[in-house]
Order: sequence, then structure tokens, then C-alpha cells
Amino acid sequence: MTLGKQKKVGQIFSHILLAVIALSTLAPLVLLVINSFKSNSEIVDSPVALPTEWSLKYIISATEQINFFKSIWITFAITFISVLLLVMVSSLSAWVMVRSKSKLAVFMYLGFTAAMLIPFQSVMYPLLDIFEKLGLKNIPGLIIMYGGFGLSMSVFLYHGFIKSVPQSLEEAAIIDGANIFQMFFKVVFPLLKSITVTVVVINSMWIWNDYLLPFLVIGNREGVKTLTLELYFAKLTSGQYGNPWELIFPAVFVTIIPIVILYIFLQKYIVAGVVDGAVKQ
Amino acid sequence: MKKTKRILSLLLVAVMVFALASCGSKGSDNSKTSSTGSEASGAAEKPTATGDYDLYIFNTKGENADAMEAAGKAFGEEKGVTVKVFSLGSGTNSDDTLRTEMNSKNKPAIFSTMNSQALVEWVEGGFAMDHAKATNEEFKKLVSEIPEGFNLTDGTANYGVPYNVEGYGYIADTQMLSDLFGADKLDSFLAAFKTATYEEFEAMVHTLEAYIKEGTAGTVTLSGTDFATAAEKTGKATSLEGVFSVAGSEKWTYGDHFVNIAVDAVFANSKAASQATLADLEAGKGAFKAYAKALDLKTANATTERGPELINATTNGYDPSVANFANSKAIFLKQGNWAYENIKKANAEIADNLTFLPVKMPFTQDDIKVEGLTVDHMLESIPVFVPNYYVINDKVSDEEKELAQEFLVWLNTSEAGQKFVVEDMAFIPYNADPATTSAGYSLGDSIISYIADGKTLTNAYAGAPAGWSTDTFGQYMMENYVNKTEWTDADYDTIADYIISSWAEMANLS
Amino acid sequence: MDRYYRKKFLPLALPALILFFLVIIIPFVVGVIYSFTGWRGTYFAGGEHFWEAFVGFDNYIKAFKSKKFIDAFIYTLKFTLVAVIVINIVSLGMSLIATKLRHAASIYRTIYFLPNLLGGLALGYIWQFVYEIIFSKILFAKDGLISIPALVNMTQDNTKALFALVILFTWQMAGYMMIIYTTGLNNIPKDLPEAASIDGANAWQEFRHITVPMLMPSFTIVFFLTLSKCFMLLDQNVALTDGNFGTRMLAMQILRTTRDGSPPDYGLAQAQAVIFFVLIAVVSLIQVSITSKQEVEM
Repeated sequence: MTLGKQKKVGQIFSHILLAVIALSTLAPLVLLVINSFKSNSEIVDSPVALPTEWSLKYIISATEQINFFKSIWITFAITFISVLLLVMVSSLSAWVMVRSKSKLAVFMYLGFTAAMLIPFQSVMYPLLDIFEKLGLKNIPGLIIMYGGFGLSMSVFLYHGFIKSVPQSLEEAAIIDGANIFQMFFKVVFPLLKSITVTVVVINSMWIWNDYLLPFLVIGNREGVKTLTLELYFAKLTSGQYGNPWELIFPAVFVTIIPIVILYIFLQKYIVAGVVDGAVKQ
Repeated sequence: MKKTKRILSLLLVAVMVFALASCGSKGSDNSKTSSTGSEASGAAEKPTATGDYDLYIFNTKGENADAMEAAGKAFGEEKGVTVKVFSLGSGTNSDDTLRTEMNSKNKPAIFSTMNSQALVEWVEGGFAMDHAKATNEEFKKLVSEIPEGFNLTDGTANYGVPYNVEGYGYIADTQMLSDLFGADKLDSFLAAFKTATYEEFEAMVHTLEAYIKEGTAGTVTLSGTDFATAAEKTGKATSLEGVFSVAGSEKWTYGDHFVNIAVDAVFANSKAASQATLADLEAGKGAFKAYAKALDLKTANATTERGPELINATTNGYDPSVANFANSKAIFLKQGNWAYENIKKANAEIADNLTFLPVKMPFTQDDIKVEGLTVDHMLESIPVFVPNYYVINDKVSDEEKELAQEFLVWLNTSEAGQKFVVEDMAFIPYNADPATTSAGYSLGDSIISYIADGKTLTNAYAGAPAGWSTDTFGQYMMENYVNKTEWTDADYDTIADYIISSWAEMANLS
Repeated sequence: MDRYYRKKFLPLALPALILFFLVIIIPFVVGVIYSFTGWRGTYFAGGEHFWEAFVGFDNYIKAFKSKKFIDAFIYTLKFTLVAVIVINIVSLGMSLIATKLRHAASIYRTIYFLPNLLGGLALGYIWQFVYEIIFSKILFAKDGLISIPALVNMTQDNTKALFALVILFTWQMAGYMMIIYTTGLNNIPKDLPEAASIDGANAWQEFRHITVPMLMPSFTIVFFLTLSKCFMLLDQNVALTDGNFGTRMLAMQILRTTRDGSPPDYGLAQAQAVIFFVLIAVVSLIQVSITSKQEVEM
């Protein structure tokens, strides 16, 4: 009895503790929401109060300033194509690396893995220099860069997973006369579903939110900016030197809405993807 | 084997094409890159292949993007050529983008740079064209007539044509001054202020501070004339919270423009400053101490108490400081004519009543090291300087260089070109005749009146080592003094010594 | 069978190799070469081509003599040390508590993970507001809710700003790391703790001798992730303090080196980047070898 009671008290205590942490996790986001409906002076003077009126004025004007409906489409297109490229290239190469078991394959795999330790800053300037000379300082170039930077991690994840996929099915397919592509896409790829989710989730998360690479590649070119770039430049230009909170809050708010909605619907996959990705390392 | 390769390359191509189609076409309508005169190119990310323009202008001022494009178009139509204008958004660091363009095949024929420090890169890299190499006679004449102080030089040759001139000082709202001292006294007050000594100015600040904080009426003496405050606060004076509105978190306000007044007392112009010796700098100690004293007075009598609060970017950044002034919470705001639009945005009704008053520092004649410069001139003048220069790129074709020269001549001398400069860009031309030019807005006209009176200073601080002013000295002031409540006499010495030592170190002087 | 795959190896791996070389290897090698030259971004000081502009180890010597670089180096190490410890304690603590819960654990997990989805820049802006207004004026000011001077003006002091960044980054990362720990905890066979408690082990002994050794694989992962993410922190650093009060970290230092002087010293920036790479590689390799040795011993 007492043990059970003790346990119950423990449970309640744990709940209280975790709920407090959850509240402090959400607090800055709540702050973001309520301040998206206020004027600059109202934000600075009474930052934690509810807005005096729930007018969409600031949200609408922020949406216009960051060209929301255009930039979200650009960001989506970049993320989608980059991730597609990554999934295709890394799954194929990881698969053939695992299966061929040659020294070259092992060497390549080690190379890919070691490259995870190269910080972006040490390739940044030469990379831009080279892409400039190739005429690729534009969105296709950006996508290729994402393909390169996401490759190590993705190959690594696929490689670890494919090792545990039995080879017998593939042999049967070859005997049936399938060519290597048919075999890969019809037989192997469906088996990689769970790790593909991981690769998609991990890469989408950083590509969607990335700021530095688009900044260096696209910069302030009109009409091709991603969401994070629009946000950055909107802050820069509207308050030339200060913080235009009545723009920043609603702008950040609208940029995170799609992510949060997606997260709420797909959280099972996202969380599973993150865990698989981490644990497989 | 062949088949797989083909499929793969097809896949890659498909992906690329999709990327181009989905993003490129979407982006073109709103682009500020445009080729005028011929059919605009479709892709927005990059002006397409060579040869779709005859002259490429890279404009760093985002504020005049539209006007510059119109000017390029007008010039193109007049000459029957295609002009491409690229403008960056305002507030953007243009260096990275300009370097990108310089690395590409299609280099801009006219680009811009801010001062002689930024010029070094383009001279060293062989990009900036020496005016001695000019081929166009009219252009040679144009650049020979640029006033000495407005030249962009590396010490041996000249490279730049000024965009315009700007000026700064204490911005005051004349309606506020009328409410403080009586409308009938306004003109005599403004005249007396300009010639007043620093001691009179300092006493005035203290009197006004007491009037604002305690409501005690007083009398200020400027140039020997007495001006009594209204017994009770009336009109705009009722909302006052301090004498000065200070953007404490903006390092450049005291790291660039404010300290420049003291640097002006030591060096005649930025060229002289760039050739400073350690002895020159040490001789400037008196002037640098005067800077510290004047900054002390300003920040101690601001709308926000000096301390950590004053460097809070949220409450004491550029925008809040402009808003405080525009909403009559302070009498003076030390800023330039570029703040006009911001002030107007915050409170349109005061925009027409603005005027510049000189920034005063306690110099003695001994502190002033520039030959012929007097204490009186320093007290009465405001800095007027060139914020940006057009530079011609030596690495483009001779035809394009010739066209670039023609464009700059056209922009700065022809009636049509000047119309774009004065009306559409709202610039004060560097070669303006003060007798006939009107800026069309209060602060611009105020600058022109100082030019007409010959009461101007230079921007000598621009000759300091690159990265010294805002990022080294301004940062030092922000982190050690602007956030500190009490300043002592010893602090003045420390600040002056820091100016000398940090400058000397960065310029490799010993 | 292997031969069949070996024949197909090159064409299938080729796209990956092209991307890898184009984006990572070639720029990396070029970067190392350029770090020995007077590269200025648009030209080479001293010659038309890079081979005419070699300056030997000058850029490296300059980097180590530069106070800004050394300060950034030390600050990065300090931040990483504190942040890695704090993030690990918080996330491990949360997952230990949450795994004992009978209900609602997944709701907490969902909430804690949320900040991780958002971009660093956006988060930086929000937190700048939290520190400058909420902390400094409402909660912890002299006339605020409770006066805690240490939590006022946190972005205006070298040490306080370090903790401001740690708080921000813990807030962002703890949920992610918690999920990894929770998975690790769930993988511990249930009978082990039970057997231990029958043997009379107390909670601490159970944690020390059963949970920690069984969690070693999770420690390896979490340490690797937090270490590298802390080292490479950039967005939050820029948005929160922009490097004022000596808070520049290495990633930002490299980015800003080209703006610190005129003409822009890209060669120096590149040398700093190479040093940065060596630092990360060494620390990561040491960390992985230590923690995975622990795994083996267990």
C-alpha cells in the first residue's frame, strides 16, 4: 500500500516537474504568438500582456514583406529537390558499396564518413569560388551543394541499414532477368522505407531552416530568396539598425506555422526518424 | 552500363530543369536586376550570357534603386545602348555581392565603394581605374573639378566620382525650440547657438536638464545673449524626457560620426588621417579628450539613464532613438540627413521643422592641429562628406569604359541626369551650387545652407585603419563606457589613450 | 555475386562521387592550398595566380597571433564544455523521469522536441527579446518579479552571454537528445533493474552500475552530436550578441575575418578554417574513441 502510494506521489511529482519544463519550453513560443498581434511600442512596453486587439494587421504586413507565398514555395522546391537528389544518390551508392565489398568501396565509405568532420567554414569560400566559375551560383547550384553536404550522413545511414538487408531477394530478381535498376527500385528500395524516412526527415529539417548557404549563394537577389533569407533581409532593411519587433515576431510566426502543422501531423515519423538516424550511427 | 549512365544523367538533368523552371520563372517579375532597352532576360538569378548589355552599373545604395534604374534607362535611350543596373537592397552589406560580380565573366563597368579603405582592395586587384587613364575629355574635365576634399584617393591617384554629399549634426525641431524659448526668439536662438562656445552649450544642457527633470525654469546664455525658458512647460516641452536622444547600442553613432569631429581637429581630411604617424596621433590627445567630455555630456543627459539600459538594442537602438526624438521626448538627436525619412515615418508633422545644429566639443586652439582651422570654425560647422563613390572598372572592355565615363558625365552635368540625382534620388549633388540648389526637404536644405556659409568639416575619420572606427573603437566605447553610469576625468584620459593606441596598432605604427 | 555488383559499382556510385568531389573534396583541398596564399577574394596579392602568391605559414602565424581568433577559440571551447554538460544533464534527467511515467510521456516528448524544428536565426531573435525585455525588465530587474542581477542584461557581458547562449541552445537541443536517451533507456532489459533492486541496490547504485553502462551507446551518439553542433554554432551566436563583448565563436570569426580589414584577407580566413577543421576532427575522434571504448569494456 505505502509503496503504491509512494509511487503515486512520485508520479505526480514527475508530472509537475515535466509540465513545468514543458511550459518553459513553450513560453518563448507563446510570447511569439501573442506579440505577433501588437505594435512595436505595445510589444516593448507590455511584452507579456495579451494584445489589446487581435488584429491580423501585423501578420498580413509581415507576410507581404517577406513575400511569404513566394518564398515558401521556393524553400519547399529547394528542400524537396535536394532531398530527392540525396535519397536517390545516397541510397544507390550506399547499396552498391555494401554489396560489392571491394576495397574501393570500403575506402569510399571511410572517405564519406570522415568528411562528416569537415566544418562548413573550411570549404565555404573555395566552394563559392568554384561554383561561381562554373556558373552555378544560383538555385540549381544551391541544390547541388545541399546534395554534397547531406551526402556523408545519408550514405552513412543507408550503409548501416543495408548491411542488415538480406541479399537473397536480389539474387532471385537477377535470376528472373531484372536489370539492376529494376532490381533496386522494385526489390531493394521498398525494404529501405524506414531509413528513407530518417534520411528525408533529417535532411529536410536542416535544409528548410538553413540560412548561411542560401545567404552566400543567393544573397539578396530579388524574388529567389528562401524563407530564412527573407526573414533576415526583412529585419535588416526595415529597421535599418534597430529591431523592428512588430515585423520580426509576426514574420517568424508565419514562417514556423507550416513546420509546426507538419510536425503535429507527422510527429510519429519525425521522432522515429530522428531516433533511428541517431541510434544507427 | 551505357544505359545506366544515360538514365542517371537524364535523372540529374530532369531534377535541374525542374529546379530552374520552378524557381527561375517565379523569380523574374520582381527582380531589381534588369536590362533596359532590350528585352529583359528571363532568368532572375543571374543576368544571362555576355552581350545583352552595353553598360553594367552596380549600385550599392538600395534607397535609390528605382531612380538609378530610371536614370540608366534614360541614358540608354539617349545613346541608343542597353544599360543594366543592379541594385542591392538597402541595409545590405554589398561587399560579398560585389566580389562575386567581380569574379564573374560579366563584371560591372561602374561599381561603388565607400572610402579610401575600401578602395585598397580594388586598386590592389587592378579593378579601379585611375582617372589619369581616362579617355573621355568631358570626363577628364568632370573629375578635375571635383573639390580636393571630395576625391577618392589611395594617396597617389584619384579613382572616384562622388554619389552625393551628406551631413550630420544635432537635429533639432524648431517647434520644440519655440515652445522652450518663445517663437519670437527662434531665429536669434538658432544664430546664437551656432556661434556659442562649448562652455555655454554645456551650461545650456544642464539648465535644460533641470527644466525637464525638475521643472525649474532657467536662463541659458548663448553667444552672450540670454534666452529664458518658459516658466511652465508648454506644448511639445511637456513630453520631454531628456536633452538628447541617444542610440546607445549603435556603435557607429559614437565610433564613427561623433569621434570624427575630434579627428577633424587633428587631420585635415581622410587622406591626411590615412598617412598619420604615431606623433600625429599623440598630438591629437587633447582633441580626443574633448571628444570624451562631449560624449559624457551627451550620454549623461539622454532620455535613458546611462548604464546597461542605454546599450539595450531593443530599447535604445537606432529606431527607438529616432522615435524618441520624433515624439518630442528629446530636444536633440545627433544624426545625419539620412535619418529624415525615418523621422518622417515616426512623426510626419515635425519633418518640415527640422534643422541641423553643430556638434560642439571643448577644443582649445592648442588641440587643433590642422593649419588654418580655428576653434570658432569647429564650433559653427557640421561635417559634410561623400558617403559613396562611383568607380570605373579597369577590367572591362575599352568600349564599356568609354560608355561608363560618358554615363558619369551625363549623370553629373546634364540637365536630365541632374534631375534624377536631385529629384528622384533626393541627393544633394557634390557639385551643387548652393545658391541655386534646393534639396526640397528641411534637413537637406539645412546642409546646403551650411555649404553656402562655408561652415563645413570633413570626414577625416574615414582615413583611420579599416575596421578601427565602429568595430574596434565603437565597440570599446559601448562595452566599457556607454554602459557605465559614472565617468571620471581619468576616463577621459583612458579613452583618448585608447584612440591613439588602437589606431596606431591597427595602422602598424610604432 | 560480388563480381556482379563490382561491375556495376562505378556507374551507380558515380553521382555520389561527383557530388562529393565537387562540393566537399575539391573545395577542401583548394581551401587548404589557398590558406597558404595571399588570397583576397577577387584576386591574389602578389600575382595573377595562386602559385605566385604563396606566403608559406604566414596566415597560420597571423591567425595564432590574432587576439580575436584566440579569443574566439577559447570562447568556443568554454561554450562547448558548458553546453555539452548542461544539455546532457538536462536531457538525461528528463528522459529518466519520463520513462518512469505511466501516462502522457509522449506528449512531453512532442513538446520538448518542438524547438528543434525551428531555424537558429529565428530562435536567436526571439531569445534576444526574451533576454533584453522579459529577463532584464520584467522578471529579474531590481523592481521586477524577483531581483537576480545575474540574469539581467545577459547579452551585455562576456560570461553572462555564454550562459545566455547555453540556455538558448539547451532549450533547443534538450528535446532531441532526450529522445535518443529515452530510446537507449527503453532498450535496457526490464529484468536488470528489477534484479538489482531485489539484490538491495538503491536508486543511485542502480543508475551507476546498470543504467550508465547500458546507456553507453547513447552517450557516444549524444556526445558526438552535441560536441559538433556546439563547435559549429553560428546562427544563434549572430542573432543573440553578434559577437559583442568578446562573444564571437569560431564559426563567426571565420565568417567575419573578411570584414575585419581592408583588403579582405580571405587567405587568413581560410587558414582559420583549416585550424577549425583540425580542432573538430581531433576532439571528435578522441571523444568517439573514448566513449566507444567504454562500450566495448561493458
